[in-house]
Amino acid sequence: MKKLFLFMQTVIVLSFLFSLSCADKTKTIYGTWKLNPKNSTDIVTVRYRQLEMKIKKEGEAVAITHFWLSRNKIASVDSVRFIPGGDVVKVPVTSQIWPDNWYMGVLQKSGTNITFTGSWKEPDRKLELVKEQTVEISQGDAKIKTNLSFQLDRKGNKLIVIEKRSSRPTPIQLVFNRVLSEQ
Amino acid sequence: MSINKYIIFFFVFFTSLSTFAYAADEMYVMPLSANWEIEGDLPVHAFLISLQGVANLSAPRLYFLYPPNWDFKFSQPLLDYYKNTRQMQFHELKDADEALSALGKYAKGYVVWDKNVRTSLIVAFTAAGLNESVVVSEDLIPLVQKYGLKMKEDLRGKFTGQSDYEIYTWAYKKYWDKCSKDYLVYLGGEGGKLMKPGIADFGMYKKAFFTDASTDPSDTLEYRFARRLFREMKPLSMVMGWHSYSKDKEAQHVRLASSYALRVEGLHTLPNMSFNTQIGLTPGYKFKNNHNVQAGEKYVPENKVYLACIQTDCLGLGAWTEPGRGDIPYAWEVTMNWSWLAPAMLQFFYDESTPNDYFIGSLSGPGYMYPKSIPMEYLPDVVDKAHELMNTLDLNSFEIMEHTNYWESGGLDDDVPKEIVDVYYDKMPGVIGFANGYRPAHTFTVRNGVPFISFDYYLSEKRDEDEAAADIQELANLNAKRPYFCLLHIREFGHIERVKRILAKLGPDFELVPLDVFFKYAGNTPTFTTRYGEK
Repeated sequence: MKKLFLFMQTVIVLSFLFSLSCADKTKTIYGTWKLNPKNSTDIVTVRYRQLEMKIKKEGEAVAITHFWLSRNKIASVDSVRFIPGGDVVKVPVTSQIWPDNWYMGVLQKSGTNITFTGSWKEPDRKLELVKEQTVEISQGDAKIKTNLSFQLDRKGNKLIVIEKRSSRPTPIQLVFNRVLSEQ
Repeated sequence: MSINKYIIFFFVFFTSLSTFAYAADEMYVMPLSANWEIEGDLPVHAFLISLQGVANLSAPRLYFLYPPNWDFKFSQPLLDYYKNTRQMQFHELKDADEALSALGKYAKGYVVWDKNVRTSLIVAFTAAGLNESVVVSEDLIPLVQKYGLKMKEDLRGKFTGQSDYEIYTWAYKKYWDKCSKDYLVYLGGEGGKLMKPGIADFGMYKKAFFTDASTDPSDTLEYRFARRLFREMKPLSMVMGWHSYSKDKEAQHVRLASSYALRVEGLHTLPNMSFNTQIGLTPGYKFKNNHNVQAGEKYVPENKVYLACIQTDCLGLGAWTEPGRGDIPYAWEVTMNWSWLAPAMLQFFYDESTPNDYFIGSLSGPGYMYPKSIPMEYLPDVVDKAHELMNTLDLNSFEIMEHTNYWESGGLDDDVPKEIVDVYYDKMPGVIGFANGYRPAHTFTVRNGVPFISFDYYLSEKRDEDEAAADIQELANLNAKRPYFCLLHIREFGHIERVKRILAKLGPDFELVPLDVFFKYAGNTPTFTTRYGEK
């Protein structure tokens, strides 16, 4: 009896530990996310705005929208819609402000497009995005290629975006907390 | 020698002594606390600063030591400098009663302000300056009466329920005609229950009109009022103090002032100016910068990344008094008007400088101005006047900051149109380089070996140090041509020890050089692309 009790206890504990180690497969990257600056690489947003991101599934396509907030009001928006594994998408530059770092002398080049190509590492849960753009710097123009990797944490309530820019010596890690799931 | 000759001899002897030694019997010093709240120490502080304004009218008599967290950090070091170089001796005052006992005789009366109406204190300073009186809240009336002062004006209850526009309109009608048109005082800065009127003694000394009227165009009535004041000041006159943090933006304030060719000289917390303005240079003194370039020599850069550092926001506000100054080449924006507003105060900075401290002219003009806002008919004279000050101060580099559209541009600003750049080159012969921007800007050119270079990096005091180093490295990767000239603007709260740590993370391809050497290198081998701002 004592052995049986001990066996049951072990099974329960092991089951519990197993469940903890498994990712929540029901969660996806879709939804509304808010940047958690404390857990992220220190970034310098334009006018110190806060970043919220909405990722939406539109048939085969994925739409990613950045909301740049100032005192909880939307100050600016940028977005891209692409089909993972599909054609390159071009988004025209509408503002010279380079949103990646307000302290650096870098401008987005007017009259050019930012190109995006995406692919799934794991459908609806792990996304790779490649962004290419031309920027203006003091010496003229330069090209930047950025690899963005989107993936959920184990519980699916945090979205981790790893950004590797061709020009930057170190990667940037942004941690977003889920605000709303997409229905 | 006859009696008359003895008299003449001793008269000349003692008069000459007074040019660099000051009478010891009537100089006082008093510390001020760190509380500037209306229900805290502000009433006493306001009274004391107004007493300073009247007591210093005919001689420098009263000096205050401001708390360590004050914007301007140098009240103690400057006092020590006065003691050491001017043989000044000060009696210490402990409280308002002692101050009044010693110096109350210089006040002709008192003006009462209403603690329920914060703006009434600002108006009270105007009235007090014109009446050579002190400002008191109701609580302090018994104290001033104890020393025989009589009430000149009572503002209690006068402004209850009124807007600032209504209050200032009343003050304008009553005082404006009698006030100086060479000085206007903006007693802005912190709002609400706080006020830090460090500049008020000087405003009283100059019989200036005091206000904090909004310069935000959407605050229609106050904006129109502010425009009226600016319009009625003389061109190239001084707007002392600072805009209100709760009413408008710095860029709006300076833009409006510049549009009337007025020179902004901050902050509202600038201390002891009624004292400092009366202390001259030591006899025979000439301002001498710490130059690093020799005339006639050629400066040819190597294929590397050159960095130069300029601290933001002029002298006295930040890292000057912190450890590390002198360890690395650093450029400092000189508040050029201190050369005539407070000569000894500026001499203090020059005397305290190390060989690694290089001074530059600023900021856009003979005072803080935005060149795009200055009417073109005034711009050449403005730049001329700035150049004149640079010659007095042995400055051969100049910095421009252009934020006319700052709050409208979404964060892209700071660039200077060609026609304005032309004026600076034309009216500042002998300058070896121009720096431009606050955060990074994108105006670049070079003419006859004299570069106009915008900041490529702004180092905030809050930026993570590893990320700051990665930022600079990334800029060097993007600007692949060598040499690459990367001008850094260092926020004044960012101390030099921190800057040293960040620069130490960069590789051997990076070299920090003095700004004048940086300009010489960039002028010799410019690798930046010419670019101007839009008109």
